[in-house]
Order: sequence, then structure tokens, then C-alpha cells
Amino acid sequence: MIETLFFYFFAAAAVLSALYVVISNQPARAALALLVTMFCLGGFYVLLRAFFIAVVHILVYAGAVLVMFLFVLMLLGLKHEDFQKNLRQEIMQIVAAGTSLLLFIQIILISQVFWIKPKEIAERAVGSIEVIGQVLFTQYLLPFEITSILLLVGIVGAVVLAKKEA
Amino acid sequence: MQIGLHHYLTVSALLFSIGVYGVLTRRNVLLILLSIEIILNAANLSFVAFSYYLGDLKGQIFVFFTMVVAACEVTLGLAIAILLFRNTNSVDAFKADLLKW
Repeated sequence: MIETLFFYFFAAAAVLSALYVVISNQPARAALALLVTMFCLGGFYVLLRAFFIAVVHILVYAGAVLVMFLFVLMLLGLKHEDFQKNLRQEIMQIVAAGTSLLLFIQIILISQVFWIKPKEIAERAVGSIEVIGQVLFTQYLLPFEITSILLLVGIVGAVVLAKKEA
Repeated sequence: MQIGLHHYLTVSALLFSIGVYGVLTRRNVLLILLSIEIILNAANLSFVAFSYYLGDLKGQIFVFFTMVVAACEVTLGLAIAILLFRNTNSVDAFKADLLKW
């Protein structure tokens, strides 16, 4: 019962703050609204017993990604979006809203056609650190190691791109 | 009422379409990147939901890898945004037309 309540609370907060992210015309406020969305998603992961993912999610998104976003926003010193709009863009906005609404309906319909029946399991899989680590360092060791190369390439790429002309 | 798989999938689909709307309408490059984050997280949510309701940990492993890729993508995206700001003195995506014929 309490889980249902938490689910609806997180769902409402996540969707409303995500809407604020795409609607607000102040970049700093949009980034902070995304923080709310991220915490709600962390709550979802806890409800789904994915504790490791929940912790990593909060660490990575609230701790790293959004802080970096705010840093860049403040470095570039943007007060708010003052791009002039014309009629063509107003029309494009409506078209975009229609497209995403259609996309939503499409996803819902597809998920009902290809309905996957949840398995009735006595014990749900709990994504604790031990269990995740066991799988990650045996079955998925090679992909795990490859992510380190991806991160290295990302670091080098960011430094090369953001560096001033040598 | 019990919360089932389709509840989570509906929230995930909602977040995904909100993110798509943001990518399509935003002109600030940084806010486009924020909307992409929403899309990636919607996918992550459905991964974890499937993982829970099908009793399989693989979904959570995949979410871990998605997070690594998302972190890389944000780093490079922000570097490109700074570069764009340095070259055009604006983060307007419409002004990034250097490659446009």
C-alpha cells in the first residue's frame, strides 16, 4: 500500500519536473528541475529493489552530471533564453508537441501488443552491491573493462575539444 | 492496487516523449543535452522495471553501462557547447550552421 503511494508520488513529481525542464526558459532552473527528476528516478529504483543502481544513479547524475551542467551554465553566463521567435517556430513547436504525443501513444500501444507477462516469482531479484558485483566481474567482465577505455577516450576528447588553440 | 510493470512503462514512455519534445523545441544546446538526459533515463527506468518484473539482473547491468555512456556523452557534449560558444558567442543551435551548405 505504502509502495503504491510512493510510486504515484514519484511518478507525478518526475513527470512534472521533466515537463518543467523542457518548458522553463531559464537554463539554471531547468537544470535544477532535472535534479528533482533524477531523485524521483532514484526513488523508483529503490522501489524496484535496484539499490546499487539507485545509489550510482544519484552519485552520477546529481553528483557529477548536473554539477557539470551548472558549472558550464555559469561559465557561459546565460541569464535566460532570449532567442527571438517567429511564426515558423511557433508552428514547429506545435508539430513537435504532436509528434511526441503520437510517440507516447505509439509506445503504449506497442507495449500492449507485445505484452510481456511478469513472471510470478517467490523471491524478487534484489540488485544489491554483492549480487551486481558478482555478475559484473564474471559474466560481464570484458564489457566492464571496455567502459574504462570509453571513459578514457571521453576524457581525452573533452580536453582536446575544450582546450584553447595551441 | 498493486503497482505492475505497465505502470512503470507508462511513466517511462511519458518521460521519453517529454524528452523528445524538449530536443525538438529547444534552441539552447545545453538544454537539448538536458532533454537527451531525460530520454536516456526513461530507457533506464524501463530496463530496471523489466529487470524486476522478469526476475533477471541483466537489465540492471545494462543500466550501469548506459550510465557510463551517458556520462561520456555529457562530457563531450558540454565540451562541444563551450567550443560553439567560443566560436559563435552564443549557444543557439540555429547559429551552428558552419557545416550547412
